[in-house]
Amino acid sequence: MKIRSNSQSRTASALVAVIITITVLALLASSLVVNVNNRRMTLSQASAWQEALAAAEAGVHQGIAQLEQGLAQNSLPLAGPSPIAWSSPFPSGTTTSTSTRVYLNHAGEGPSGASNSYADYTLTLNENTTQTIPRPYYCIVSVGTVGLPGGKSLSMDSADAVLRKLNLRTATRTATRTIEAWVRPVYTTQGPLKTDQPINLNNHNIFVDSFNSADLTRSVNGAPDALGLNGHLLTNIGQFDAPNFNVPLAANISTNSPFANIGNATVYGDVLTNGGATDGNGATVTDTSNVKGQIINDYYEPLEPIYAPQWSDATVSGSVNNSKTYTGGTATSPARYQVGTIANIGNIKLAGGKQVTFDFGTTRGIPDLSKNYIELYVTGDFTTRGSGTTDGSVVIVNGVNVKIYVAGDLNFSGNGLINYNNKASSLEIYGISPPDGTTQTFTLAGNSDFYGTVYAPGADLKLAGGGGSGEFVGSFTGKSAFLNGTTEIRYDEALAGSGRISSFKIAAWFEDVKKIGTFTGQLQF
Amino acid sequence: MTLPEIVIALAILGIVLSVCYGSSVALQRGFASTTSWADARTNQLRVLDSLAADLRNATAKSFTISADGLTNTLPLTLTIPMRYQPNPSPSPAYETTGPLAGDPARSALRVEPGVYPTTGGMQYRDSSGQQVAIAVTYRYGASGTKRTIVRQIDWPYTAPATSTLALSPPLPAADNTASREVGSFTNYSSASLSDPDNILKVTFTNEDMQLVSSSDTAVVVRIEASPDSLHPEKKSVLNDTVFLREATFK
Repeated sequence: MKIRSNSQSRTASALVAVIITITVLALLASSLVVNVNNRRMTLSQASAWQEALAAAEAGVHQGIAQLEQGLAQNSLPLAGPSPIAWSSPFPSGTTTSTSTRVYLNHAGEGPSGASNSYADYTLTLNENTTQTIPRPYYCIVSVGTVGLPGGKSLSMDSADAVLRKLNLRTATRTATRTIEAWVRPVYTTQGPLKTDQPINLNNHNIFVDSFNSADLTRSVNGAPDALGLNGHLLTNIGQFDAPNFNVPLAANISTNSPFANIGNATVYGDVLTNGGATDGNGATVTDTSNVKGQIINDYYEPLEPIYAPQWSDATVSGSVNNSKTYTGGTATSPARYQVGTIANIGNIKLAGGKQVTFDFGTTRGIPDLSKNYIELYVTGDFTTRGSGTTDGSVVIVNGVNVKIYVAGDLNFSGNGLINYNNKASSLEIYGISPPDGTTQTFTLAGNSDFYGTVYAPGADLKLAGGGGSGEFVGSFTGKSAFLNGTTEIRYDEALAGSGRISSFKIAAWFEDVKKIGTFTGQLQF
Repeated sequence: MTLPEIVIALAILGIVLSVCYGSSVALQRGFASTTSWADARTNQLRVLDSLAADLRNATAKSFTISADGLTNTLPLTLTIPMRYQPNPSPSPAYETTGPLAGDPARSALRVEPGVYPTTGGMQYRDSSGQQVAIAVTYRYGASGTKRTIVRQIDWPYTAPATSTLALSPPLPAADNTASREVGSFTNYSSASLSDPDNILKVTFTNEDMQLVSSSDTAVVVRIEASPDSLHPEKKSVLNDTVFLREATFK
């Protein structure tokens, strides 16, 4: 019989002790690793889920950018049967675009398309056909997708799975989030005064309010109520003297700059700036004591440029210095006139008793009331000076609708312009955006009341009340704005939705947390 | 082996064992602490994410003001346009039970929005023209010895006979509400569950760290938890600034 030595027994005991110790430590370590790895996965998945939201929002922004590019290229029709046969950005005959994918590359990820973070978005057109003026609303549905790092394991807590609804079943594991954003058109005529650069109201007598020419409870037969000597409405029709009319203040002055000198003018609306400060020595929004609304500093609205008309059917003439009458065409075929050409710029300069009249077209020599649409393109300046006429230097006959495009400066002074429609919607003046570095000035002054809209995003806008009245009824947009004298801007709320679309604005934003469902993309007006 | 040798060996063994024991206890405490911190952070993150998603969709918010009057706290009630409708009738528009309670029902259809003709703004309305909205409420809750955060939704319409959104009273009350826990936090302190400040505290301020007002465009959410069993005073704090998307579109 062989007897084991003591030394062999001790060695075996030590081995067992070491194995047990290592086993215990390994169990503890593996438990820790599993726990830590699970938390790491949870955090990684949460991070990917957050990134998916950023991707989805990027898709929404890309959709808006696509629409605004369409605006710049004049490819968004403003009228027509519904559904509109779109050529851009939608495939012909449809109102929903095919899905577009946008990749969001991380730094160092290489060429586009290599990223595992992307957004797929669609645009759906909804056009309001129940109103006179179509309003194209768009629904942008954007799905942001981000690849999940690591394996298939999910957080130990089912609440994470419920919240984040991660896709772990397919070979490509992803986090997805869906954003639905509705964008609505912003028209050139929304608001009494809009600029890209500073606004300067240089007189405390300046007065800005709104009325609604389509609402007899908020207008005097379609016109703004007159102001008394005390600055109050004479017949108490309007909104600020009539608290019973529970309507929000709508005469909002807005600028994309942080600078707005309100000059203690009376403003029945908000003053909106982009980052304007109202406090202390660094205040950029000043003298706001008579602003009836709020001072808001998170405003920005791009002002789309105006491009020169490309008309092939226009009647072209040289410069106009004498009296002249432009006659109208029909709504579907307006009479178009062009003064000068790009090569030989033409101006309209009226002085003394000279007068330009916009009148009805004729049929067999008799005025035809259906021929009441005129479009005029002035390749140079359009100016009126002095008096000498019984009425304005520029006259619009009642019932005639006029659009004027001016590439140079515009200056209506002296007898100015008389619009016998007494409705701002009947006159649209557009300032064609000048080349960078070129100054353009639009000045409206004179003795007569002005009814019309002005959209000149590249022009310095000057409004000056002349004589006993300086009433500007309509909507005014310029690169900058300077008002003085006793200028009154009476914004016609009925203009909203007319004119041109200047941009699109998000009207609703919603994260769709339902994974599977149907959506028609149709809007109810 | 002599007696001194045995004594010395036992002493060394005692030291080694005590070191092993101490290390083991420290390791286990460390593991437990790591686990509880990670658990708390995971829950905090989930609550923040859930709150953020609802805050972004909300058109209106109603906070409770904390006892010191300096911050807003839970319960918080959000008004969110009702974006889903039941399909088919008479099923509810939202899951009423189970882990998905409060999520849109898997068979639900989207509500097609409308437009206010006067303002051009968006609206979600029923066939009578009435706006439809759901209420989402976050509040403190309790589950055993744990402090929880509960998300409850209440919706006004269900199972209409003729229109998917038309009001058809009386409504089955049980179908109009659903709730689930979105976060669960262990109580390591001696505090009562009714005293959330020592276990878990959710506060809201605006970006200037003041009380949230209706004109604010963003809300700062702060969640403090006490995951350390030995030192409950050591807080795990997570902050998130949420831009109020739907509420700020004019």
